[in-house]
Order: sequence, then C-alpha cells, then structure tokens
Amino acid sequence: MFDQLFSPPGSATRPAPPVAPLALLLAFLGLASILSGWTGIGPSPYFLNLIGQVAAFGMLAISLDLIWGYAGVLSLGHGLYFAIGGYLIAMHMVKVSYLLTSTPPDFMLFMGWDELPGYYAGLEWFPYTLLLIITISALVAFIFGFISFRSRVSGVYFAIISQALVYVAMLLFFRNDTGFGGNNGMTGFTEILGQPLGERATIAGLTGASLLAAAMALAVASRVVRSRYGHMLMAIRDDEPRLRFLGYETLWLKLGVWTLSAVIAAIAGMLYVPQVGIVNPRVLSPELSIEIAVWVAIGGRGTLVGAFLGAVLITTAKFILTAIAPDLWPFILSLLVLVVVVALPNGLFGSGETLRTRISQLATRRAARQAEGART
Amino acid sequence: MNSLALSIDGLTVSFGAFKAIDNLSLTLDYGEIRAIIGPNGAGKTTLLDVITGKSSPRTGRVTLSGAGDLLAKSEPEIALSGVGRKFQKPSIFEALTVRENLRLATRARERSIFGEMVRHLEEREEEKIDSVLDTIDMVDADRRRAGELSHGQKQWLEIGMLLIQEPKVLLLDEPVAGMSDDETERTAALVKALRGPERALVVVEHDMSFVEEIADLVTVLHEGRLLVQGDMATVKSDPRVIEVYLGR
Ligand SMILES: Nc1ncnc2c1ncn2[C@@H]1O[C@H](COP(=O)(O)OP(=O)(O)O)[C@@H](O)[C@H]1O
Ligand SMILES: [Mg+2]
Repeated sequence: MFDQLFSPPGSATRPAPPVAPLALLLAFLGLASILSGWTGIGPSPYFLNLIGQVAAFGMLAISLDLIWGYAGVLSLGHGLYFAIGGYLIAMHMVKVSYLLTSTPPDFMLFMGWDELPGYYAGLEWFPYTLLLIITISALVAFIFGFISFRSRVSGVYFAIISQALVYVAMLLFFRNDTGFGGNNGMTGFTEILGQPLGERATIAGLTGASLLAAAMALAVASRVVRSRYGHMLMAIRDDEPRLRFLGYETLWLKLGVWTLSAVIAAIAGMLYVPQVGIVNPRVLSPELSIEIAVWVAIGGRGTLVGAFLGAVLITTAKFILTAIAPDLWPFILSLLVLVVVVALPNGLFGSGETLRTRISQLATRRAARQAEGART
Repeated sequence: MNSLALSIDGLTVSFGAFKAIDNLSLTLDYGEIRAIIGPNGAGKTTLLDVITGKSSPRTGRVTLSGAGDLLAKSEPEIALSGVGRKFQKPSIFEALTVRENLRLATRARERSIFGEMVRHLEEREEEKIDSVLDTIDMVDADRRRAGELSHGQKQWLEIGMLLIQEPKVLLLDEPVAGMSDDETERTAALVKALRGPERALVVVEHDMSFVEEIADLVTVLHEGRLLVQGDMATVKSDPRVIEVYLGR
C-alpha cells in the first residue's frame, strides 16, 4: 500500500506539463502586482494579500515536489524549514520595532524581560536575516539528511522521522522561555524594509515578491530536474542500489537536493509570515506538513507545475470553505485525498493517464464487472 | 596461461549462526567466462554481494588485480574500480529513456553536483552509447522509456549499462531467468560476444543448457562451499553434483 507513495509517477503516456509558461505567468503577475502597489490601481489589498499567501504555499509545494516527486524522498516535516524562514523574519521585524519603540514585544514583557535576548543581535539587518534563513535551513537539513541518508533510512521510515523532528520542534517552540513567543507566537509587526505593513503598496509589494520568488523557484527546480543531476535524482527514486553499483555515492546526490529543497521552503516561510502578520508553533504542527504532501499528491508528483497548482487549488478552496463551513474542511480534504489515491494516482496535472482516460478506464472496468455479474 | 583478474581467499559470510558462504576460495582469469551454479540457497548471490560491497564477510579476502583489496571499499568505489554487476531482477531506471539510462552509466570520474548540472556528454561518449546499443541490439529502442520495455530488453539494457563502464569483472546474476527461449538464445550470443582479453565474466545461472553453451569453466557451490570445478562435461558427470541436484 505504501509502495505507491514512493514509486515513480505512473507509466507516462503524456509528458509532464511544461514549466516555462507558468513561471513566466507568475513573473508577469509579480511585476503587475508591484506596479499595482505603486499606482494604487488594481485589486483590493485583501485580495492581493490572498494571492501572495497562496504563492508562498505554491513555492512550498515546489520545494517538496523536488525531493518527493523526483528523488523519491517523502518528507512529512517540511513545515520545519518553512518555520525557520517564518520565525527568523518575524524576529527581524520584532527587532526592528524594538529599536524604534525601545519596548520589547508583549511576550517578552510577560516573561519579565526588558531587553531582547542576545541571539537577536544583528537581526535588524534584513540581508543578515536572509543569510541566516538560508544557512540555518540548509544546515538543519544537511545534518538531519546526512544522519538519515547515511544510515540508509528511506521510504516510510524517513517520512516518519521527518515528522517526528517537526513535532519535537513544535514542542520546543510551545515553550515560553525560548524567546520565540511560545504558544502565541510572534505578532503585531509594524513594518518591513521600512514600509508599513498595513498599507496597500506594501501588501502589493509582498505579493509581488512572493510571485516572483515562486517563479524563480519553478525555474531553478526545473533547471535542476532537467539536468544530468536531475536524471540521477530520478534514478535514485527508481532504483537507488542500481545507481550506487554504477559508481555514484548517492548520499551526496540526495543531500544536495534535500538541502536545496529546505532552503526553498524556508524562503517561502520568510515571504509568508509578513503577509499573515503572525507566526506561531502551528506552522510546526504535523498537520501543515502533511497538507504540503497532499497539495503535491493532488496536483501531481514529479511535475513541479502540478505541485504548484495543487497548492493553489487546495489552499484557495480552504480559504473559501473555512469561511463558509469551517467544520467540514478536514472531511473535504480527506475526501480529496481518497479520490486522488483511488482514481488519479498521478494527480490532477501529473503525467500518465489524463483525467478523461482514467474515468473511461474506470467506467469500462465497471461495465466489465457488471457484464460478469450478469452472466453468473 | 591467462592472468589473474579476481581472487577470493578463505571467504566466510554468516547470518547469525548460519554460514551462507563457508571458507570459499576461488580465482577468476581475464578472458574467461565462468559459470557459477548450485541449488537454491547455495550462496551464489551472497558471493556477488560480497564482491560488490553489499555484504561484508566475517573473514577472507577479495582482491581485484590492479585495485587491491575490495573489502575496504564502498559499493560505488568498487564499481569505479571495475566491477560491474547485473542484479537478479532487472534493475534499470524506469522513468528514463533507454539512452538516458546509458548516459547515466557513462561515468568517467568524480564530479560535483554543479558539474553534473551543466554536463553534457561528449561526442565520443555518445558514440560509445551508440555502439553499446548496437551490441545489445536495441538501436531502435533508443528513445523508449525503460519502464515500457519487455523483460528481456530490460535485462539487456542493464547489461548495456554495465558495458558502458568497461568493467574488468562483469557479474551477471541469473541473466536468463524468466526469458523466452528466443530471448535466452540471444542472451547467450550477447554474453559470448562480451568475452574479452581484459575482462572476466561470471554468470550465475540455473539454466543448464545456457550454462553449457557459454561457460569455459563451471564452479558448483553447495551450502556455501565449493563442491566441484571443471568443464561442463566433467561437472555434469560428477556424482556429487548429481546428488545435490537430484537431491536426497
Ligand atoms: N541478508 C540475509 N539474511 C539472512 N540470511 C540470508 C541473507 N541473504 C541470504 N541469506 C541466506 O543465505 C543463503 C544463501 O542465499 P543466496 O546467496 O541468495 O543463494 P543463491 O545461491 O540461491 O543465490 C540462503 O539460505 C539465504 O536464505
Ligand atoms: Mg540468487
């Protein structure tokens, strides 16, 4: 039953959708959004903000597809890297407002701290924050990946361990004495890069940045998977021992893409948090990490475009449905997963059978069964 | 006399208290095709596992001429020193095309990930792929996805991937298992064509007529030990071989 999670996406009779049109469209929308911020013409800030959030999730989906869809490594803990980006950018914003107001945020006053802990040093500089986001996410991924891949942990076991790691991180971040805001997380941010967060121009700018970053992530990921290195990754997914016995040390090959994937996820988190205005340990909950895998599975593993569109589809549906019928959302999500697993193992946009051929296949099989039943 | 390619000395492999290989010594020469036969569980696959670095023995030595002690090396290092192995079940990269599979087998020296990102094969390397495609008789299947190939073609593709690497020692684990008569015949022709003065071929097989057709020398394993070694006629008429095959 689990095999299907790691096997190559079905027998491809149809090539995966091309990446370039989507990447160009996202880049265009990104520029348009920034322009809309400057001119004040265009959609409402609320709508712009939604698009920006969805784009950040799409980027997160791309990061997971890179390792799951291509290298066959399923992470059920990618929220960890998303959170690293999210928390660090939140710390940056907290530090900036502390310097402006010289009062620490509420969660620290509550702890009786009257200044920021030492590890906030330097975080008022955005380039330094960005550098930290990249190096810390890469380092955490590298260490975790090195230990797991070297001990040849793979498949379901790797997925479980990756989830355990994000869970441990969540417990840690729930604590109030860590300086990360505990249970309530960090919120009340006022500005980013000198721009007030509530203003439409800033919102449009963040949306534009998210769309452009998603376009970049698509371009980079697609460059990687179409290269010779990308073929090695697919070879690892299809038959890792074979590749080792051809003379490749797969440990390094896997670590490379694993680390890249973590960095992309962290940058997505960095873009997401200023847009929602809060970060709390819920980004580290196993639910979010599983949901990322669901986006990718529904969109189609190993296609990049499918993963992005899967995230767009599901998160948009979630925005709408949680507003109308919040209690129903978990059931709808589970139902969608079932439909995909049973009827569309390659996802909506995945290579392999198209939706139409798949439906007609199911129909003929049913007809055959009924004919069988009629005869007996 | 031919020169020595691989030598195995006093090899013992145990799983718990059970000895899958028990104090086995044997040598392989360049230019020969050796068949290793023996009933199921005789330790044939385990022997290949040790030579290629997949399992480590309790005692013994495995030496490849020119590359020294193989037991100290990792699986990829052993492959790069010139030992190629075909697995018992076809092992190829299903999502890639036949040519892409062969391109991945083209591996001259260690390169960084960034190096591999921008690497395209040289013309000389593509020509070598063409010639291997010709050898395994799959020129027309060049652009097909490996996952869509027939069982026989998958086996040949895997052999082709090994040929690209020009191994000094080529180990084939049950290459004709599950093949039709026609495919078996073509595989026999292929294996015979692979014989070369700078290569030792080892074929582990159950199919006796296949073994008879290709092998210079037959080694019979039984319960992890060398039972008999000689040409096919000698081996076939040996009472001990008849006994282990026809059973108690
Ligand atoms: N990893 C393992 N753990 C325990 N026993 C093993 C292992 N691998 C092989 N064996 C045992 O070693 C013996 C030899 O197996 P093998 O080399 O596969 O035989 P064959 O000659 O049929 O290829 C068998 O009895 C098998 O059950
Ligand atoms: Mg065997």
